[in-house]
Amino acid sequence: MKEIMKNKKVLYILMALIIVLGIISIFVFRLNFTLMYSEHTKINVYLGKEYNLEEIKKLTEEALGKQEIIYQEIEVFRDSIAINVKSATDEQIDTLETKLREAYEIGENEQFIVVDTVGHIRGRDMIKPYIIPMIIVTIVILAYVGVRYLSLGLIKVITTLILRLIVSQALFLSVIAIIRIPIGVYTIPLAILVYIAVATYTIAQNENGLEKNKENEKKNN
Amino acid sequence: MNKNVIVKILAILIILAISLISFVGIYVKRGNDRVNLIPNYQLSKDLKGTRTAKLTVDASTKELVFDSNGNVSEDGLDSEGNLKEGYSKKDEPVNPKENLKEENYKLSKEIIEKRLSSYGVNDYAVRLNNENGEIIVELYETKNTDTVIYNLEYFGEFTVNDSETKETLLSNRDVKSAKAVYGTTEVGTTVYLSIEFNKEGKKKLQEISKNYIETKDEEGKSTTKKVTINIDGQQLTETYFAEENIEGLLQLSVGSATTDVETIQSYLEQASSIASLIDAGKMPIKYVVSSNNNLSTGINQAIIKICIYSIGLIIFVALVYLCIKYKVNGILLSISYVGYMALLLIVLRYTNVMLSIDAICAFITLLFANYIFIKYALKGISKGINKKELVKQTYLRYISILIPVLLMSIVFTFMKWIPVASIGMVLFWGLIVMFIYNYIAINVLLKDK
Repeated sequence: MKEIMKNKKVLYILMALIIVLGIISIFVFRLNFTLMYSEHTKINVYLGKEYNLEEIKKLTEEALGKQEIIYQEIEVFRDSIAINVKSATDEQIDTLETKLREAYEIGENEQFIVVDTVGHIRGRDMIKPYIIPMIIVTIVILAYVGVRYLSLGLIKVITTLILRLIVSQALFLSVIAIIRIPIGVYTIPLAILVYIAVATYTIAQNENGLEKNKENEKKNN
Repeated sequence: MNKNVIVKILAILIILAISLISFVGIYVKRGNDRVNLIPNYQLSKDLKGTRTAKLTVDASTKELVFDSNGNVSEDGLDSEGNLKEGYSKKDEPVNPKENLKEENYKLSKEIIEKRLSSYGVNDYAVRLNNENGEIIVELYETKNTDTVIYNLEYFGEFTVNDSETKETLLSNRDVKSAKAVYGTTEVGTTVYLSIEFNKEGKKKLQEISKNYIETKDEEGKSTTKKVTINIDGQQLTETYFAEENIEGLLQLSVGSATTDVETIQSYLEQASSIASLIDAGKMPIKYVVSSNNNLSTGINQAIIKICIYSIGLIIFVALVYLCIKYKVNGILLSISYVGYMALLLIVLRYTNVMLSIDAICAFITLLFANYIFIKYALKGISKGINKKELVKQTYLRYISILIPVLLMSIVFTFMKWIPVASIGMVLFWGLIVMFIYNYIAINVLLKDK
């Protein structure tokens, strides 16, 4: 028993440490966002003739160097493409333009590249649509837990669930912040997955508690 | 051959057929093409791609005419467009330089977001370049996307003016909310633009409704003092008041039709569009749509492939473990597990569930939950619990545990935001299919120890 308590203490200290480190990391280094969620450069290339994606990739990598590049088809005719990179200097863009002009035999005076600086997507804008549904779901789940596991102690089961949900989300965010995992389209669904896992695990434990209570009652009778 | 064995073989064949239909499809020849009879997945903007519009700050100029006092005047030009005596004209930028600041760019972004929400766009992203005010809007493509995008160009300036002096009597500041409403009588349906004014606006409207009326002099000659109602300087209507307005509510008829649903729908769309402009507030800066394209998904395809292969591998290893540990029963329920995946994917196609990254995560959650479910059943049967008791125990336990997930699925399903709703719908159908399918699978495929 003492060993279990000791292990639990170590676990709590470890979790608290991760959360504190996470908070420090967020304030000092800010969160890291994926290329498409952070401010980046979008080079729109309007070739006017069908392109070969592999060739475009090769020329772009030669011109812009080794960095993350995301290609998006513009419309469906395969004659225009958007090249997304974290940043590109004027010189790099000029090199790319020259290479594409040569490869696709584009006239000297023809302007076929438009460069945009794309603003970032704010973290709070990502979270906003999920706030109300998550609040409603949490209230409904707490009500269910409160009613079903009343015999285990209303305050105990509810506070356990609330604490676990909060701590698990804080841990999730802290790990993301400490390891610098880029925040993107996968982050919120994963946070929901963590939420579901913690909620169902806690409820499964409560179910075990109910079963134990029933067994004890049987024994006593 | 034993009847049970035949039933099991038949069940396995059905599962294989479902798997083939789901993963491969049913193809028939139509003309020169081979067409899959199974509907395609509905993909959200994250997976399918987006309509992306770039809104840039309007750099154009407009010609303004000034009177001798230096005030902007609308009477300074004659019928041929020549300047009258005493008036002067000057080109002024549409967006004065002092307006082009970060604070206004941010406000414009907020107003655009409000407009998108009130236009019923339920999956979008708005990005702002704080330095030059450029705004990029990424939308899920619908039949109204173009209208929505070009409506973002409007200032959204709402004014009620004196029809003669052009004096502004009411403006956006006085508006509390605006919406499209309709009323049906025996004659037909009339669509209205309903504008509710705030406390200040209510008082002003009451005063206006007392003054802008039809009056008759002693000789019985009537004179009508009218107001014009304008959006971005374009007159919507010219009207006067028949009685004093004390409710602070202005209802303008947009159109009426007897039974033609399409016409009524079109009037409703017009009214909603104007209401959205008024409701979201006036833009501090005039924007123009400088590009409007369809862009394929920005998700790195390589990452998606790695994720799919990794999940496939994990499932494979987990099922092999079940086969080794629980022998024949393990093999049978592993086959049924694949059938569950396949059946759920078919259900998602037929129920038109929008698949997003969020929905895929919900799908993975279900695969995990289903694995635990069948593992629990296999454990029970290996302990010697008979099938009837096993089904009862497993279901009692799992329904209790999965009720929060079911509650989440119901709440999320009713949300308008597509990624949230897609999680809800996938979880909902996933749980329903899981409970029914596993009931049949356990009863048909498992054999008592």
